[in-house]
Amino acid sequence: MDSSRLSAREGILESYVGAALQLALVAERQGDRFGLATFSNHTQRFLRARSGLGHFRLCRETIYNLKAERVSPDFDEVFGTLQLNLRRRALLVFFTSLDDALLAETFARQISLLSRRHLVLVNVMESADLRPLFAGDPPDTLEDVYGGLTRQMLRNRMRELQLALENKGVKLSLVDSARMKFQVASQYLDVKRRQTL
Amino acid sequence: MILDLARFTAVERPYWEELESVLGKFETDPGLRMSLDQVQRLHYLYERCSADLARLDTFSTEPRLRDFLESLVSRAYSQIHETRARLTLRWKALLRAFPCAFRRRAGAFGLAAGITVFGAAFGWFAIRYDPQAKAVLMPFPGLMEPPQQRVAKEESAKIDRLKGVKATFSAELMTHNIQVAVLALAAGITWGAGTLIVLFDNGVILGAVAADYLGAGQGAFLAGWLLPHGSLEIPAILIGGQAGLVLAGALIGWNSREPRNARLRAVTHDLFALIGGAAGLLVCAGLVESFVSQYHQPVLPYSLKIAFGVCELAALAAFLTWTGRE
Repeated sequence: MDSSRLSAREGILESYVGAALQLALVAERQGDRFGLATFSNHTQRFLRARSGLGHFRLCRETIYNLKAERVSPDFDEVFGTLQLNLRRRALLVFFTSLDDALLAETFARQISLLSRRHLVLVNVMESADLRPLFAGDPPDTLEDVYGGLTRQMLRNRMRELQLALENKGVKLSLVDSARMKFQVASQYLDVKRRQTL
Repeated sequence: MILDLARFTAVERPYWEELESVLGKFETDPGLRMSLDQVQRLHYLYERCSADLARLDTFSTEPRLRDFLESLVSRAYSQIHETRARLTLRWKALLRAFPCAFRRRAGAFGLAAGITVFGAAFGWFAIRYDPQAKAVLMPFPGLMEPPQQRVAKEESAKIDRLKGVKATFSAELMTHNIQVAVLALAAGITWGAGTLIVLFDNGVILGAVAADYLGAGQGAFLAGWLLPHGSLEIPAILIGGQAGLVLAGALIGWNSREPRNARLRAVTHDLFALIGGAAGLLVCAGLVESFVSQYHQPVLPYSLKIAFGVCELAALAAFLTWTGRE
């Protein structure tokens, strides 16, 4: 879970915390092992995967103490840490923000390090800035039209990133805050059902 | 983790230089139009440099590099998030602003008209009771001679005394009258006392001239002479006075709890609209006075001049009453 500057916006981190705990709970109920890594400009906490309610409580305590920081995430560092610590193929679910062009590029370039060995799912919050042009009420003013076009262009860029990551075997999902818990649990159950791990 | 600054700089510098060159183009040519691709590229470079700056803040304490990036990002920010609206003249809104402001401040116009009428009454009675006061009340050489003598001279004139100088004469009239209107506005800064004096003085001259000519039985000449331009000029001076009284009202601030600067800010638009409209009217009045008012019977029959003046007054009244009304 990314707790750097972009996750500090508009309650994004709070949504990620809720979704990650939900995911951990579902994994625990399924009898699977689950772990947690939090990072910003360095890897803050790494909890090796285990099963059981006690481990869930530990993850919960760790995640509740997480605070957003005004720093840029260092994907290179966190990918290195995960690569070093995870010897067996694992399902890695990322909660991060990739609406910044440079961060998106860095993520797409460096994720190959992990995606060769592990199954990687990336969840990015679908903010108001990524709303499609023809969603919602029709624009009232010319400014609204330009705003809608800008959002659509950002969405297109995210779509390009999605395709680039898909070519590397990484699935990027835009999740909305209201349905995030359900969407993330569905992703996990879908992976289990299709036995892609 | 410590950033490898040399490597970071080597990788990112081409992007910084590209952004700097784009911004340089904008700064040398502010009207530069970019294609969509170029705009997207500029936004990408801005985002990238902002992210670089954030990374430097995170990892490094290299002050010169950070200063350079901060300057670059702030320049790009001010180009992208330009808040100044493009200067476009909205003629319709401009045309409506004057009558709307006039109606909003109708009370001040009524007061200005009242003061002028009071001054006119004073001038009227002063001339009627003491004709010798003419030299004091009407300090214009053209008005010093007896009205009958002037009318006879004007009606028998064989040559056009304004031939070749009409434009200069009208420009002089416009300049003088606009100065009077602006003075009436500016004198509002004296809590309205100056405006009242300007309006009263104008009223006195008007009343004195009317008393002089009507007393001599030259009503038709007076109406034919004054109405064509006076139907625009007198309301324009009154509007100048109206603006001065609005300014005075904002300065005094009766029954208002707002601070003085807020009150002044609240009337600024109306003051500009009123004085702009008055100046426009005075330009028209100057042209009419030079090209129409100075020609008398038999060149231009008085009935035609009076009808022209009445039409102007009716058109002005309709414009001020109806234009821009919701």
